[in-house]
Amino acid sequence: MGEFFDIAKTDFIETFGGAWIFPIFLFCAVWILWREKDWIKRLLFGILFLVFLGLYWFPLTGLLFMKILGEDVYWRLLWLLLPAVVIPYAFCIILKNIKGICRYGVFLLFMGVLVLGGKKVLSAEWFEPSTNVYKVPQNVVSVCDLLPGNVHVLASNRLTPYLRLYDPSLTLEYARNALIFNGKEEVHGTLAHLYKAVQEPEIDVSLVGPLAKEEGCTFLIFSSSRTYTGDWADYGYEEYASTDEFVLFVDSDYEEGQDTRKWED
Amino acid sequence: MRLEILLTMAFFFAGTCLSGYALCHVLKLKNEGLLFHTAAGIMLWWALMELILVPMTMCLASFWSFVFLYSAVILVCCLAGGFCWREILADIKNLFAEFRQYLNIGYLIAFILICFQLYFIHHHMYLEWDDTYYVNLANEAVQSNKIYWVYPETGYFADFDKRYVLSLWPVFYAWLSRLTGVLPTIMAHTILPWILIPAAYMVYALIGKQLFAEDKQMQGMFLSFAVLLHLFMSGEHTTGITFLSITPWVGKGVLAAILFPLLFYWILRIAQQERGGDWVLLGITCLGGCLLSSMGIMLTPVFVGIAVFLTAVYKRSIRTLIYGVISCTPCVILGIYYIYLTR
Repeated sequence: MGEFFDIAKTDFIETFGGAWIFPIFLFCAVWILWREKDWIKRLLFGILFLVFLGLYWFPLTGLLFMKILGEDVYWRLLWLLLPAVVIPYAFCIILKNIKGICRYGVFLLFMGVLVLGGKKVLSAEWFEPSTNVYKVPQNVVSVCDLLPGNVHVLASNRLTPYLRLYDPSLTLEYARNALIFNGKEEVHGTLAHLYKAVQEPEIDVSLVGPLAKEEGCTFLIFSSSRTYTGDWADYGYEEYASTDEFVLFVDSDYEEGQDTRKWED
Repeated sequence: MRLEILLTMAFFFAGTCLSGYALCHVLKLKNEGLLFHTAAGIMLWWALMELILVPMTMCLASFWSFVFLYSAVILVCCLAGGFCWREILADIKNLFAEFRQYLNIGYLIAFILICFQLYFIHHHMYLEWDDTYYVNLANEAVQSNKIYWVYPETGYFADFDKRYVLSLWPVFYAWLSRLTGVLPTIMAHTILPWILIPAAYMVYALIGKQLFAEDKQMQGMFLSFAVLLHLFMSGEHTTGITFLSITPWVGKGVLAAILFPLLFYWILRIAQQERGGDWVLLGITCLGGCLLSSMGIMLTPVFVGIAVFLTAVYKRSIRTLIYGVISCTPCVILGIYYIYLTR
């Protein structure tokens, strides 16, 4: 039971923390219940959302929803509250009873309350200016523009989430599926060993080279800041190109236009 | 890119509007206005997609065959809508007749805020890690002609994550990409916001119209408060409606920002003026919600079920309760199947 309240409380604070929207929402729901004469509206704008809140906090229903939705996404139950419906309606009930120029004044006042009570969504905290229509980091575009299509690539973790967004003809040796190997002392399988080896600050070419060859990686992309022990040429790779942030190596056996994508059916 | 955005918007809104008229004509819902029919059409498109896509995915059909079949069905809906031209003209005429009433402070502020939101989102990017799965799922459909049988993050690992198989929303914008010739990444990040943000506010405009049928000023004020709340919310970036500004292309975001408010709108209409057609629209919206996210399969019946139960108790109407249960049936069936697949 204690664990349930911990999760519910954490999720609730993460959802409504840092702003006054929830207190405004609660006030508005109660206001509608008090001032609205139409019972249907009282029911749908007031009672319904208080029931949803009750479902969220009541341990029996809460535990049931945690089981159905999953503990880590329990907060999504709070999506059922519709602040952008309840708050505007409560404000409009108040505005309806005000006539003339005063209505505009109160309208602007309420707008001010929402601006001051809420947290700015379109902010630099979450957004950055876009430099391309794909809306992926520019360093990804720079790398992909150097790569030929239809090849199998092993790339730096900084690039893997975005490479295929720009060029879906590439296949990647690993993506987020390899993150499970992080923090593990002992791993099994070529992919896991390869992933662990390229996470080292200094890459051991004598280890990575043969594993990459075995896995059929045509291109290897590492940060420019990486250092290496050994010579890539000894293991069948050569430098192909570089950008400000990354160095690209290619399999010496690769021929221009060759399709080296990896398929496992 | 402006041309692609304009063409996709024109195709989406004209197509859904026509389809909405066809549907509402069958349901005998007339003189409801352009926005109402467009909202109904959007839900019809998504519900039809869910009906077609789930069996085709299970049968390992190619993406091309899905594009062909779904496009044909949509074309039929649009053509059927064309036959309702008298109703469309009447609604356009009404809109022009009332146009001056819409020029009030509420609507003007809402319009300015929406334009600002679209401008900001168009010129900024939000790096969403989950895109590597969902957007690449769309990319992979277009690239490999397979629906969901390639692990989207790497492009080679044959896999089948059962959690998402019933809610393949990215295939919707893969379909739009296929028709327009734009890469799904661009479709999702750059073009979809221009479709989904206006669609979301359309729903709030409908709620405002339902609440203040005779008062355009209050409708405008209601809408401007709703828009402002999407720009000034609370907490983490995953708070329901903030999805609309941050990642409008994500199915969960569409669920929170468009589908739940629309479900609320249908229920409000049903509670105020119970008509058969509204129940059908509610059922279609429930099915459309299943396409968006597996959360849609789970949360939609909770939302509809409780709202309808409260309404039925207030009205002391067993019929309301039964119709509510029937409209949730698509979600319940898919929900049971989801549990069967994942357990």
